Amino acid sequence: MKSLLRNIRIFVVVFTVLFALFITGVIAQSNRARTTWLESAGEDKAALKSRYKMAGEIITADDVILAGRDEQGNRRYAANDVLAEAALHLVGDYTHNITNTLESLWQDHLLGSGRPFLTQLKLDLSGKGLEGDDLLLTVRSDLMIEAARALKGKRGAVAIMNYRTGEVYALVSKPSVAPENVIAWKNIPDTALFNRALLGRYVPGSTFKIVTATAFLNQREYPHDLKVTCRGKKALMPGGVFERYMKSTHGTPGLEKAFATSCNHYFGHIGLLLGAQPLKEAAKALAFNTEFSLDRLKVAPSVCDIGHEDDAAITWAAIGQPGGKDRVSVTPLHLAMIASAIANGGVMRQPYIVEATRTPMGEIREIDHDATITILDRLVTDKMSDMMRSVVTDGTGKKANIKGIDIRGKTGTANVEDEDGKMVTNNLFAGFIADEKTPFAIGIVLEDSRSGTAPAVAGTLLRYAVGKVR
Amino acid sequence: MTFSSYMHLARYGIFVVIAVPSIVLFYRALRSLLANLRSATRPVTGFFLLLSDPLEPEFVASLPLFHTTQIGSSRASDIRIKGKGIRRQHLTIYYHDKVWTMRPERSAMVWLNGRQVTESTSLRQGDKIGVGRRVLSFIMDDTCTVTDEVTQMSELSEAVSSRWSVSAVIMTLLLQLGSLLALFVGMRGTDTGAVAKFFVLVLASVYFLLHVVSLVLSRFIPRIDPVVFQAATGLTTIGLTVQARLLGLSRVFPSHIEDYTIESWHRSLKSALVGQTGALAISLIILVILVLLSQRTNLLERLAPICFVLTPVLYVVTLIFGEGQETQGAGLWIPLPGGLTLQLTEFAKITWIFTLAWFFRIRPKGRQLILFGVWGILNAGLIVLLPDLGSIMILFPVTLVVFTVMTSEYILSASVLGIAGVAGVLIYRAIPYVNRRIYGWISLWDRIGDDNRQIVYGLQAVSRGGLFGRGLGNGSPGSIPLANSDMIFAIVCEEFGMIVGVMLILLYMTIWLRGMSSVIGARDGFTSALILGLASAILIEALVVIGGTTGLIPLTGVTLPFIARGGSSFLAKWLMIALLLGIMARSSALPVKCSAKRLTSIGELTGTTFDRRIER
Repeated sequence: MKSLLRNIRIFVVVFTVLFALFITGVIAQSNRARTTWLESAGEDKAALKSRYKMAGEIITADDVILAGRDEQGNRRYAANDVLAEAALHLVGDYTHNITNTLESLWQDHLLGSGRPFLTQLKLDLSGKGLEGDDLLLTVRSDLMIEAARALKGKRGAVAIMNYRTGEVYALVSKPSVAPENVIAWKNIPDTALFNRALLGRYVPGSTFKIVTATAFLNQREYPHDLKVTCRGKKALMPGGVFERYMKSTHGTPGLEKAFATSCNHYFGHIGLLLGAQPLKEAAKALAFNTEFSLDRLKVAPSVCDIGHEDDAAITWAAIGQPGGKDRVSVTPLHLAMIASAIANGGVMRQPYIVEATRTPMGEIREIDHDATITILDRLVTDKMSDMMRSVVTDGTGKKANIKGIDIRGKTGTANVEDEDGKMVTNNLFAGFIADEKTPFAIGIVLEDSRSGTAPAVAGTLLRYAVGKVR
Repeated sequence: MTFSSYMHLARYGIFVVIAVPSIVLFYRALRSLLANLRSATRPVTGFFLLLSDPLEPEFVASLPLFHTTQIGSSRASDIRIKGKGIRRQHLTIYYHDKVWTMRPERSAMVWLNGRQVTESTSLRQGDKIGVGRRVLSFIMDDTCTVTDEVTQMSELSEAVSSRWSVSAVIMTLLLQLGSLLALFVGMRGTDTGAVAKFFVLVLASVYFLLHVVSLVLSRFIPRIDPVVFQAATGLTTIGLTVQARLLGLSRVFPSHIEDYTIESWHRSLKSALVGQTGALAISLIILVILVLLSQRTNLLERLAPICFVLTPVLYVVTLIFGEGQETQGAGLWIPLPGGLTLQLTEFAKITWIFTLAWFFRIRPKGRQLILFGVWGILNAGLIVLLPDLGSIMILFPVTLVVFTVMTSEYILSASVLGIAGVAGVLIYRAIPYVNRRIYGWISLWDRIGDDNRQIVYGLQAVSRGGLFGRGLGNGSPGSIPLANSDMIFAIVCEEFGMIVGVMLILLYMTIWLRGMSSVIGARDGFTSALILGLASAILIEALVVIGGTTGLIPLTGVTLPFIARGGSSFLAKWLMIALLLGIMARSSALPVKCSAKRLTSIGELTGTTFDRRIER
C-alpha cells in the first residue's frame, strides 16, 4: 500500500507536468497557425464564401472599391471590369486560388480576427464584431486602369511608385482574367494567374547597365573619362559582347554617350576592367540578392550571381545578358525601385501598398512604413540621374520623352528563350520623373516586344500620372 | 443586428457558463487529491493484524491492514519485519472479492497455523501467520477503528468535494437553455427550420433525463462522486450543443445532389441527432443500474475473467464483420439491422481495462505476468490487423500506467516502452496508412498535402477562433474533413474559443484527478486498478485526440470522449463513467462478518491479554 501511494504520487506529478506541457503546446500550435498557411489553397469553397461575407473592403487611394460586398452580402470585386482584371494579382480571390494576394495574406485583418480584446468587445456591443477591417491601399485606380490599357494584349508588367515615400501607385500584370473566372476556376488563359510584377524574374538586358555604371563610378581608381571604340557586330573579345541590334558602330563614346546609346562594347569593356566582384557589390547595393516583401506580399528577390565563367562571360553579364552558369534577373517592381534609388538621391525606400486599416467603427490605423532598403553614394546617383536624362533626350529611350516632363530612365532589351524554346526579345524600362512635385518611378517589362515599346508605355503612363496631379 | 452578431456577442456568455463550472470542478478535484496525497495510507477498518513473538510473551502490537498489505524487510513494505530468512518482499495479504487472501512471495518461508504454505490461501478469523520468528494473527473486529488527525483531515476534504457544486449545476443548466434557444432561433427561417422544433424537443428531453438521473444519484445513492458526474455532464452538454449545431445551424440544403429531396435531408438530420441523443438516453438508464450493481455487488469481479476471453472475441468479430475500410482506412463498424452500426472496439477498450485490473489487482507472479504478456500481444496483433491504431494509442499507455502503479516495476515498464518504440517504428515502416499519417505530421509546417490537410484546416479553424471564438454557428466546419468526429476539437475552438478548448482539457483532467483520489482510498486492489485504468483511459483518449487535432502528435482516428459524433463511443464513454461512479462509491469499510464476542478468545489464542486500545 505504501508503494501504491508512492506510485500514485509519482504519476500525479508526471501527469500534471505532461498536462501543463500539453496545454502550452496546444496554445503554441494555435498561435503558430495564426501566422502560417494564410495562403493555403483548396479549402472548401462554400465555407470560404460564407467566411468572406463579413470581410472588410479593399479600397484604393482614390476611394474605389477593389473588393467589397454586393447586395446579397457576397464578396465581389471591382465594378469596373478593366480595374478588376488589373487588380486581380494584387487583390486575389476569396477562394485563395491565387496565393500571393491581399485577400489571403491579409485575411486576419479582412476577417477581423486577432483584434485587441477591448476593441473587439466594443465592436461586439455595436453588433459589428464579425465584420472585418478595411484595407486602405496606396494604389490609384485610374493609374491601374491606364496601365492595364497600355498593356492590353501584351504580356508583361508595370510597377509605378513614389520614390520619396515608397507608396506603390500601380502594379499591373498581364495577361490577366476576371476574378469570377478564378473563383469558378474556368477559362483562365495561360499564365494569367502569374503575378509578373512581383514574381516575374526577367533577364534585365541593358537596364543592368545602371548597375555596371554605378560599379564603375564607385571605383575611384579608374579614369571616368574613359573612351572605348565600338566595333559594332564584331565581338569585343572571342565569345565576348557585340552589338546585336545595330548595323553600324557607336564610334568612340565616353561613359555618358555609351550609356545613352547603350553601347555594349563600352560596358563589356568596363565589366572586364572591373571583374565580377565589384559588379556583384554594386548589384547588392541596388538590392539585388536581397529579400524584401511588399506588405506581406512575396516579392521574388532579384538575382545577381555571376563570375562562374570566363572573362568573355563577364562582358555579357556586365550588359545584363548573362550566359552559362551566371544568373542575373530582376522583377518589374525592383526595376522601379532601382530607378527610385537613383531618383531619390541614393536612398531606396521600402515600397508599400497598404496605407492603413480601418475598423468597422471607422477608426483608421496607419501602418508604419518608414524603412529604407539601401543607401547609395549621392555623388554617384546624381551622375547616374544626369546620364539617364540623356538616355531619354538623345539615346535609346527617346520614345519616353514627353515635352515638359523631366523623364529619365534606362532601356533594356533582353534575349530569352520562351517556353517553346524560341528566342524572343523582352523590352524593359526603368525610369522616373526628376521633379519634387511628381516623384514617380516606373518599372516596365514587356515580353516578346520590339525595342522601344517599353519606354513608349512609360512615357504614356507618366504623362497620365502627371496630368492627374497638375 | 443579425443572428450571427448576436451569437458573436453570446460567446462571452458561453465562455462564462463553461469556464466557471470547469474551474470550480477542477479546483475541487485538485484540492481533495492534494489532501489525500498528503495523508498517509488509510488502513481498512474492522481488520488488523496482531503481532506477537513466542520468545517474548510480553510483547504484542496491533498492525493496521490495507487492501493490499506487503510484508517484508524492504523499506517499501507496509509492515517491515527484519530477521534471518525474511525476504525483501515476503508476503502479501490482500482483499479481493470479499475474501482476504495471503500470498507468500516466491521462495519465502511462511507458516499458516503451524503448516508451511507456498500457495495463495484465504484467511479466517484468528489465523496465525508465521513470518520468521514472529507470529501475525489475523483479526476481524468492527468495534475497533483507527482514526487519527490526518485521516480526519482527508475525510473532511472528501466531504467537501462530495457536495454537488451548485454553480456547476446552474451554469450547465444555463448552457443547455441558452443553446436550445440559440438553436431554435438560428434554425428558424433557414433550410433546417422545419426540424427546429424537433431538435429542441429531443435535446430538451435528454437534458431533462440528465438532471433526473443526477437527482436520483444524489438523493438515493450514498458516496456517489458528484465531481465526476458533473464534469461528464458538462462535457456532454458541450458535445450535444456542437453536434446539434453542426446538423442544424448555418446549413444549406445540398441541392446539387441528384434525387435528394429536402424531406429526406431533414430525415437524415433527425436520425443523426437521435443517434447521438439516443445513445445518451440509453447510457443514462444503464448508468443508474450499473452504478448500483458495481457499488453493491461483486458482479465486476465475476465479469473480469470473462473479459479476458471476451476482448479477443470482440476484435475477431470486428475483423470478420467490420465495414468502413474504404472510407475510414479501418473496418471497425459492425452493421446492425435498421441501418445502425456498432463499433465493438470501443467496448473492447472497457473489457481490456477489466482484464488489466484483474491481473494487476496485486503484483502478479512471473507465470501470470507472462500469461498477460501473451494475451496483450495477441490482442495487439488483432488490433494492428484491423487496423485500429487509435485503440493502441490509448490501451498501451493505460496498460503501462496501471501496470507500473500497481506493481512498481519501473525498470520493466521502461523496457516495455523501449520495445514498443521499436515496434512502433516497424509498424510505421510496414503499414503505408500509418506511414502517410506520420509523414504528413512531420512535414506539417512545410508542405500541405492530402496526408495533413485535415490538421492544417483544423489548426486554421482553431486560430480563426482566437481566445473567445466566433460564436455558435459562425464557424466554417464545412472546410474541415470529419469535422463532427475526429476534428471536433477544432470546431469547438473555432466557435467557442481557445479558452473553452482549454476548459475541455481541464474537465477531462478533473475526472482523472478524482479517480486518483479514490485509487488511494479504494476498498481493494482490483477497485484501485480499475479506477486507475478507466480514469486514465478517458484522459489519454482526450489528450490523444486533442494533440492530434492540433498537430502536437500524429493524428489517429480516435474520437473525443463525450463530444464527438458516434453513438458507440458515446455509449462506451458513459459506461466508463457509470463504472467509475459505481466503484468509486464502494465503501472503504469492508463487511465484517464476525461479532465482537469472539475477541475474548483471540487473547487466549495469542497467549496474552488483549485490550481494546489500539496503537498504530
